[in-house]
Amino acid sequence: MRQTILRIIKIYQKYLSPDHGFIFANSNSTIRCRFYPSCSQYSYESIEKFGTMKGVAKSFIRILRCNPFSKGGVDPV
Amino acid sequence: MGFLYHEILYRPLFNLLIQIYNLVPGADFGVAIIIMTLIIRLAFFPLSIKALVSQKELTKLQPKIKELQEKFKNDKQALGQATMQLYKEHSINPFSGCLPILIQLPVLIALYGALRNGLKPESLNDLYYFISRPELIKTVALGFIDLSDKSHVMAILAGALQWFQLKKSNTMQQGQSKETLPVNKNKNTLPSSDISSTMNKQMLYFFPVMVIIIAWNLPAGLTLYWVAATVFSILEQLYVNKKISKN
Repeated sequence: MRQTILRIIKIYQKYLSPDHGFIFANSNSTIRCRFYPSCSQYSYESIEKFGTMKGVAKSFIRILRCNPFSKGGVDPV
Repeated sequence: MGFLYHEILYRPLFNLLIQIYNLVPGADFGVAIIIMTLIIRLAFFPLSIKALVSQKELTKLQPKIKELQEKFKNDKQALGQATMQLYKEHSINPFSGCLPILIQLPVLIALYGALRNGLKPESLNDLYYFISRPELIKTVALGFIDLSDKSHVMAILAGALQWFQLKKSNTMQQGQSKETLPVNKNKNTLPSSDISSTMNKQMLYFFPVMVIIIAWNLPAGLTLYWVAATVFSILEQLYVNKKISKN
């Protein structure tokens, strides 16, 4: 389960992500994460560190925070 | 976890949709989807306006960003971190963030779940006790689109509207980069901005084509949601463009 989720995040980052992925990389699009590390990286690290349940919960809250009203910026796991 | 997803994201949306269907006169599922889209997008309206306006504020920071880009030429990670720090210091952030995009997913999955079975009575078991069960859900919208079946016309319409939406948001960004041009005295920075503008052009066609390919075989109800949401984004963009050009 945990490995599957981590693998899905990696695939997402490699291809689809507006920040990391090669398909949309370099586009001037403003559709991207407001934080460093990005939400996907944050999810990856927190699932690795805290396990599936707690990691996913933390990721979910991070994504809720990642909206135009949050300050964004550096926000490590 | 599938349970949590089902309870927190899918079920509320599905119930909202059926409740709207119950209330809409004429019992048209297409109209229900459009109204649900409107409600969701209106709930996120402050978010999207904030994002569009803060893109504008970015222009003021452009020289500092260029400085950082020079400084961290070879270290993409450090550049990302430093840029984010800079945004934080000036309490602006030009990016929309992840929430506005990811919120589309549960909506699409809820619609897919609802339409996959052609709205068979079994799928109504997910209704809350206080939502009345419609006897029968007609999936034909506006008299001629079968929402549970694929529709190539709707797919192409979704792609075309997506193209128009990207084009509108691009013209706004181009307007910005023209304003910042006088700042770019260093000619070395020009090629990189050229590259990103070709990338933008690729994106302008790539994404709509992808929308058409994905929508080609999906139930028309999902495509209808995409069409309604895109129309809403276009209107938002036009509203913000107008507001900004006034200031």
